[in-house]
Amino acid sequence: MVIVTRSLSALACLLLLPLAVLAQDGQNVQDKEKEKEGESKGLRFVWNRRPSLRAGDLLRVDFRVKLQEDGLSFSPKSEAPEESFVFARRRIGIQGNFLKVFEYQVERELTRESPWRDVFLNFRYFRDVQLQAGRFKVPFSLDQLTGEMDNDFIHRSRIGDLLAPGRDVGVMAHGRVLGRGLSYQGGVFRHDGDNSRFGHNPGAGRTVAGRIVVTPLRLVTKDSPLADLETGFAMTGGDVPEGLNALRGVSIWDTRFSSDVYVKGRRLRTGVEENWEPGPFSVKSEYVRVSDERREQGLLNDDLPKLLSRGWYVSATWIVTGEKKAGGIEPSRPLFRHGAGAIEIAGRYDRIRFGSNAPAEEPETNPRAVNLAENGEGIWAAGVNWYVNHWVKIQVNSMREAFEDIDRSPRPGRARFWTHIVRFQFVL
Amino acid sequence: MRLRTLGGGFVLACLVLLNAARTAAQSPPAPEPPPDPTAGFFNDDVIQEVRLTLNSKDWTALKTNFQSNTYYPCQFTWQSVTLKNIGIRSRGNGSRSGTKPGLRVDFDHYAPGQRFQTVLKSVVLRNNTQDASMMHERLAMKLLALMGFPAPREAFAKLYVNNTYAGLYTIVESIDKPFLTRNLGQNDGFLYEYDYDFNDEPYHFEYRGSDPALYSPKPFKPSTHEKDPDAKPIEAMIKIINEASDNDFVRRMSDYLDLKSFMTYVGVENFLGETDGMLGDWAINNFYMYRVEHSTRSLLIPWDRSQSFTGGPGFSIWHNIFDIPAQSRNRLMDRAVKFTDLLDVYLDTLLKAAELASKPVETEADAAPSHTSAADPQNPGWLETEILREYQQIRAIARADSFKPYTNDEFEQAFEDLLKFARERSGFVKDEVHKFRR
Repeated sequence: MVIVTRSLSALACLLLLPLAVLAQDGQNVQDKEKEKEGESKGLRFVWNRRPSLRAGDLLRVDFRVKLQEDGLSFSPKSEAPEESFVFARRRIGIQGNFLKVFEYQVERELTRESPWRDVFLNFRYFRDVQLQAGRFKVPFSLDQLTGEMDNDFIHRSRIGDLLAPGRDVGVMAHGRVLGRGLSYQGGVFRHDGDNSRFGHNPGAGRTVAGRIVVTPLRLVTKDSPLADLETGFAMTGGDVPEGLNALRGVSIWDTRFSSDVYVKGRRLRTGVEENWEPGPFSVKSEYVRVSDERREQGLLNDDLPKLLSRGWYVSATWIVTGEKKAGGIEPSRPLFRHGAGAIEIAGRYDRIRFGSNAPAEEPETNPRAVNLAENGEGIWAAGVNWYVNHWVKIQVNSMREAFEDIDRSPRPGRARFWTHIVRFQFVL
Repeated sequence: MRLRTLGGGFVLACLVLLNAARTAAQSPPAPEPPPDPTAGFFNDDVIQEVRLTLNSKDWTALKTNFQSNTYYPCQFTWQSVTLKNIGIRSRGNGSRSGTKPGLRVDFDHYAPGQRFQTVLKSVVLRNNTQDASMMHERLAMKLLALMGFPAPREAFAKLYVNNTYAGLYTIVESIDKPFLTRNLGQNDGFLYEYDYDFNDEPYHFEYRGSDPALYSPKPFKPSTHEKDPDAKPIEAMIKIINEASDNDFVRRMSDYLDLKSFMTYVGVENFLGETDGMLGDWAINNFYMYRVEHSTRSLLIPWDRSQSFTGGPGFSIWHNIFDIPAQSRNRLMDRAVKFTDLLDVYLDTLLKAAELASKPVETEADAAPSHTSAADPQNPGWLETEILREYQQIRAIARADSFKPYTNDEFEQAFEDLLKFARERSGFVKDEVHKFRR
């Protein structure tokens, strides 16, 4: 009941924000006309779906606000993450370009701990070879690289959340070649991303990462529905210092289900991804494998078999109101503008697993086990996304987690858990 | 006819009974309980040998971070038995050491359900860093057991870590469910470890308020039913200790604690010259409390006797009872000692412990009861005999223990002090009791 009440309150607030935005956006057309007229007339304020400062081609500063509020419900009743209404994200930032060839973005979470998100500068003098420096996402995993505001589901897949690196500080070359049939990203980063660093875990040291995405059938035919089928490959490599520095398995309930493991040596990620977005449909799939060396980590200071963390997912979506999926969903008939917005249904199954693949030995759960007792989980997720208008999205997701080792589930002795989430999102 | 019938029936009944008695006499005796699989491990007639194998960096880390309770994976070997996938950690309070760490060995830390010798979930390897003789703990627990208390079994052990001698340790049975089963025949009650450390406010059973959370998990740390410690009966007991009228005190306390057993407990502690126990110099300490299944009644289980004997043979029988300000006294003892029958239990316990400690050990050749009360070097009492036995057992390996925080001279002196205690304590206690009663 509390959740329902708070949901309605939050919904009301989030709907008021776009009303205010809509009022501003009414002047949109006039602004655009003025913009065209006065491109070189100095610094101007423009409202084009979001507030912006412009100085012709010399400078553009867009002001961004991103809000997400989640209502959570767990079954069985959870002790740890209490049923609650929480602000998942409160971000402000600016983004834009200057001097025609530089793009930038600065985004900050309104929290005290680790507030900075994307803070980077991109040099795009050559469109085929652009250079980006600062803090941004290490190029690995389609799911992780998809912006949080654009995801089909409230929670990323486990591999996207736990095995992909996330953001880090580095430099990267990227671009598109072969008539946009091949895009690439390659760079060097200080570590291997925020997802690898938690508690006292420093993650890997200097990490090299690369990703290519090809649309092979586009080279053959541009008319086939399969022409947009993307296939990607990605790798990262870095050395992890000695310690309990393995990647971790964390449930939707925010409990650990993988054991601590001592690692030392090379961490190698490999990933394969597929993405196909024909018309109102989309199908995505990804496989990620991370191996961590365990040099001198045995009880006798001997080398142990590598820790293997791997998983995959497959997901599909359908916009029942008919809008196109590719390039982001824009409701053709937004709420309060002769329509009810766009409705999308989505389903996903994902799996993740941690172990060492040394079947000759007895499986054990201690952090120096030769054969690490495996544990993993599979998650069914189903959801409905309501794109109310350009700024507001409401998502409803139900997820069922099933753990392989019930002793290491959020509630030992029980294997299956349900989580229901409703998210209200406002993006300016 | 009726009489004949009755008489016939009587004869028949007698025959049935006679036959039944004959059958019973011929039937095999009741089967003996199965042998205790842990008896060999706690056999204190020999020095046990325990070997731990762990990553050398973990052993270094454990010693460096000896104040931390971090677990490290380990392999445990005793005789021909090797258990893998176990966890060890540094343990202790004042005894913690980075040179000779006290260790808790948890057989089920990484493998729930794993047991050593089919029974033990964990065991303590006590480093004896607060006792130069290294014998206080074992001697005291032995006397407590002889006096009828459920006390952990103990045995000396040579500890090897990665095949290197790491010192003389005392194996101590953990107070846990297997211990409760062995001693009490049940284990589903509520077990609490009294948890006191240096930073805590000294506690003497003061009433802190009606919220059970004021009593558990601190200072009564749940060792079973951790998620539902149900400390309400503890709160109720402490309220009675502090607020019950003299007329009601004994009757109401009997729902929560056997006061005679409590007086016996503190009596044995006092006889042993204990300075860190129920009437300790730093407030109450070093015990477990077990609340019996389906009951509000608890009993006390002793723990950590490193400070036994430190009061010396002339340790007053009224130590921390009448000789300190009221606000520093154990509230329970302060109330109980005012009742004559309970005071008598305390004094009788002192006499009984004194008698037991000074009574020569009976051998098969010398089975006649003896009532020697004065120390007789030719005919030493039980305590002196036990000290000598343990000393002979450990002398060589204790002296070879280069990790102990004492010199060999200090070890020998501590042994001499123990002998002196054994020879003088009983006489002193008896004199004090008799003096009081006169």
